[in-house]
Amino acid sequence: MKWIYVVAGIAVFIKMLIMPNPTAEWSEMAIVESIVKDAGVSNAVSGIIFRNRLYDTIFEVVVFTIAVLGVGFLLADEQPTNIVYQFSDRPSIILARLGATITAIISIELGIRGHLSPGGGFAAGVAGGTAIGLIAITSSSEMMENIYKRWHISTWEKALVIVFILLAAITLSGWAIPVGELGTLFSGGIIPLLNILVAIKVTLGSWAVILLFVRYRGLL
Amino acid sequence: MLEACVFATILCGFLGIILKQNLVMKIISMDIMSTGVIAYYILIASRSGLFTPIVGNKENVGYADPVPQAVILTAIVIGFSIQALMLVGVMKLAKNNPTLEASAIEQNNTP
Repeated sequence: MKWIYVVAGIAVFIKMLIMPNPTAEWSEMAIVESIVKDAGVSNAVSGIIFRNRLYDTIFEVVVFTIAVLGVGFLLADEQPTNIVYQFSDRPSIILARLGATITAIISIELGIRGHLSPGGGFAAGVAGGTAIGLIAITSSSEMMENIYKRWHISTWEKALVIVFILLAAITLSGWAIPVGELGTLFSGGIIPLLNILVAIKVTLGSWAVILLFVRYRGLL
Repeated sequence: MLEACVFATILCGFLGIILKQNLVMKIISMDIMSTGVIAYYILIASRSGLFTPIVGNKENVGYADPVPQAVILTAIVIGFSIQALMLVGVMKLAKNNPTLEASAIEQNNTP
């Protein structure tokens, strides 16, 4: 049975190589310029994600939240690991802290300037999550969890999702902030705000996932 | 040529999913397959030009198509979420049956 799948896979591979893809003949329309003009931000990808595809992006955020919730739900009845082996030598700790600082700064930069330069909310969130992950592999998991609990991070995460959905719904119903001058920091109407919201949301979500995996699985 | 490499990546991932018995290897193969798909989208986006679709000072440069790049972001985010969920599922399976081999787990659970 397996070999049929293998042969079918190789056949599809050869088919894709031999037969050329049909290409659409509509290159006259300048896609980038028209999107930039519509959305008022110079990064066309951000413009598409938070304007043309806003309805999709809402559910993208929802799917991410549900996945984080699902990880917590599935792990809830497991036994937490007793000993979490951490990196304990000074060079690793200092390097990880340095890396975390740099990644956190990059995350903020990607978040607030995502509509002007390469970046955007999701990339910024992943950078923030990496920063938190770097801290998590070197500091004690109790400390991380205390911080997580003290600042009510999970509540904030859910509140941010609701705020994002509300803002997106307002935007989808037609109400919009004036776009402003193209290429400045405060331009693009709602898009920078949505970028920052998504960045914080993805950071907090990956923090939750990292904490859960470290608590129930350890680092090694 | 580049297209052939991308398709080879997707094929490697696909064969890994169906041929490997270890569940973690299956998840890694799925990740490789989705990486190939993402690379294919990027390749298609670069047909109309190689510049990042960010309007700057230069005039009349061939921008890459922003639409496939924006669409594939969904696949990246959802791939991450699904991987997290699958890893948890594998953890639970491996705890109940002390193995990661798919056939052994199936044999344990057949009545």
